[in-house]
Amino acid sequence: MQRAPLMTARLLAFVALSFAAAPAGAQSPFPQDATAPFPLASALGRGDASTAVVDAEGAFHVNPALLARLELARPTIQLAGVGGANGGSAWSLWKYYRDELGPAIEDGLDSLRVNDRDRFEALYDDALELGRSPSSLSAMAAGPSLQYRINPVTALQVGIFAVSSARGQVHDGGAGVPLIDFYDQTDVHVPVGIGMAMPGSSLAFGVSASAVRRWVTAKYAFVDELDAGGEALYVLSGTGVALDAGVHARDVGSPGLDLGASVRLGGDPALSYSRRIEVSGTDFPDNEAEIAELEARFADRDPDVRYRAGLAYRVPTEDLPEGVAGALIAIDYVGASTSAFDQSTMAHMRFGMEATGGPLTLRAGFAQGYPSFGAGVRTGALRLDYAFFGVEEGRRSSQLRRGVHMLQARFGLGM
Amino acid sequence: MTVPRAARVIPFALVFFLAACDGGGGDFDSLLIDARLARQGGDLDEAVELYEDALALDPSSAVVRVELASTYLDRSGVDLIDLDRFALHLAEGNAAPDAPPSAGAGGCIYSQIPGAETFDPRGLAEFDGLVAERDVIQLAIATLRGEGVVAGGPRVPPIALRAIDLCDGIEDGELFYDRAAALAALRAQGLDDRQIATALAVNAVALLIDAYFFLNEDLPQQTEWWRLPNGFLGICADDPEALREQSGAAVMDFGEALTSLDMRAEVLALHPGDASRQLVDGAIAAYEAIEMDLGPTCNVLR
Repeated sequence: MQRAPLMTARLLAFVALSFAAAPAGAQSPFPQDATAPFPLASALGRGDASTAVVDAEGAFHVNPALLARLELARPTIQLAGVGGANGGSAWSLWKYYRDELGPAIEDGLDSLRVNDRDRFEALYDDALELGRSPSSLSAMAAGPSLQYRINPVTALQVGIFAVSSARGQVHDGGAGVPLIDFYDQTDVHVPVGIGMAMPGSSLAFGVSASAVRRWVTAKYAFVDELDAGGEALYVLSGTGVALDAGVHARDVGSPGLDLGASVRLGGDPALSYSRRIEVSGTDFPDNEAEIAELEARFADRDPDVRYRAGLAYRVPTEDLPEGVAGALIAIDYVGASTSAFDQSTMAHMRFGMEATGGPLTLRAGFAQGYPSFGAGVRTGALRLDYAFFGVEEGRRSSQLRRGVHMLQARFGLGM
Repeated sequence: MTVPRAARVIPFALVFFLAACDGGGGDFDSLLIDARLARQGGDLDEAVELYEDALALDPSSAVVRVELASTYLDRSGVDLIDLDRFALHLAEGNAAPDAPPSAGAGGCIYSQIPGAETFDPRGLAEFDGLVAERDVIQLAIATLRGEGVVAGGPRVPPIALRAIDLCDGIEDGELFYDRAAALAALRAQGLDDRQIATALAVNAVALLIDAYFFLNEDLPQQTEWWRLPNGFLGICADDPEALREQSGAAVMDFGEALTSLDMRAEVLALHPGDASRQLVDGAIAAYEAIEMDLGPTCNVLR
């Protein structure tokens, strides 16, 4: 009797590369990495402690009050920026596809099932093992942006930023049946903000409004639910407005000790079905039940109110060793969760430090129970930043880590 | 007011103090979440321990029973691929390399059929390795049946799945049983469709493999297996009627495994050509291969 394999080549490929195409239980979270809407390698390298750290990027994405603290002797113009991040076992999955699954598909999975059982079963086991822990891929792009001081106490900023993040995981859906949990979100933000230092006071305030255009898609299905003759990723989209407000206090109680806090309201637009991406097959009708399930899933998403507060200590210049122009230590408490669950206090904590000497900045931190480190190089109009950090996918720190490498490059004037 | 320099490090030291105090909760929901996370993190021993702790708090939780049984199999590396291997061997397995020892009064009648070949039911890869995991497989079955490490729970796979009539319930590769009652019983336990699918996959794999082991390890009399020209398996024993009686419970398990696979495919609305539908077909073919001598007495005996 002739029988087909348990899984077709196409479906195995989907498992292995579930980005491109996520134990049975709660569906995996949306990528609320609790970082800024536009993740910053410079901040993440120091554990993402950044609410009170005066930084031009932080003024856009973390705390608009920081805008008032920027020197801005002349306008800062960022012409463009790009970046990417690879988290979890995304690279291993790619290698698995390149070295094992791809050749197996070429050789014919039907044949392997009968004639090379060990290899066939290894393909299956490896897909589950590699996919068990969450993996992520992100791409970032920054368009032109401007920060400009209009008077000694007031500054303005405007820019455009885009970030696309995909997260994939393969659960054991019982008896080794792969259960794919995939999610992708692409956001374009256009923030416009103002920062103002209060004359005669150590306080500065800032507000920012951002237009947010969002596209999301997700797939949560057993591998044998996927229809090799007509499978699609259904994309929902929507437009909304996010409001950010922040405060920054300088030299609180002691020279160099700064406090900051910010809150973001909104930014999660109502989403509705807009189009589909065909994974396999063509000219098949939409799966209305899946679309309805997807829309319900996103409608159930909690309203997005993000807040964070922190402090930073700028080490006095006289305490710095030779060759170090500046150094700081910072702590943040970030209100947003980085997983599907309410997280413990420690999982909300961010701690980090950085030191700058010449064109080089070195960073290290400790966030959610995981160490982080990074470096930045500033040469003329070009700025490069790298960071490695951990994201907690569980409810406590140090429970389910996704390690992420991130690299960003920016080009501009006055940065 | 000026803060002493030494005092500035207090907030930073607090971070590490909090890290040391970042413990987990011991309530049911926390245990269930932590068990799932441990499983995702690959720590299956920890996951089993946490699931068992959660089940001790609520022995009636079908969700925990399903996930715990699934984790037992996951930890032992027993999965649907193994089921496929067993089904494939029964339906299409090769002949035994050596003639089997004679069983059956006056010799085995199947040996006289032209084209019949001896068949080794143990002659599939990893048979011995899986036998070593049999206790775990039986623990998964018991857990799903409301027993196991924590007893006193519901039988998750409904009895309607076991109530298939093996004489009339399989016809032309199709199963006839009360699907609506089975599905209603599963949903009444608070399981969603994907949890139901998980429960059924685990139940099918564990039952089919355990039943197969029973036929090869536990039967009190020696058997002799032959692959017949029509693809079916003929099984000889000294006392054929006793064999049929002794294997009755295992054959019922086999039937429940078939209905579990079939129900899973229905719950997920799988298409006839889908891989899991084909697995149902394969399992039915495997049952049909052995039913002649092990199934209920609705068939003609040798």
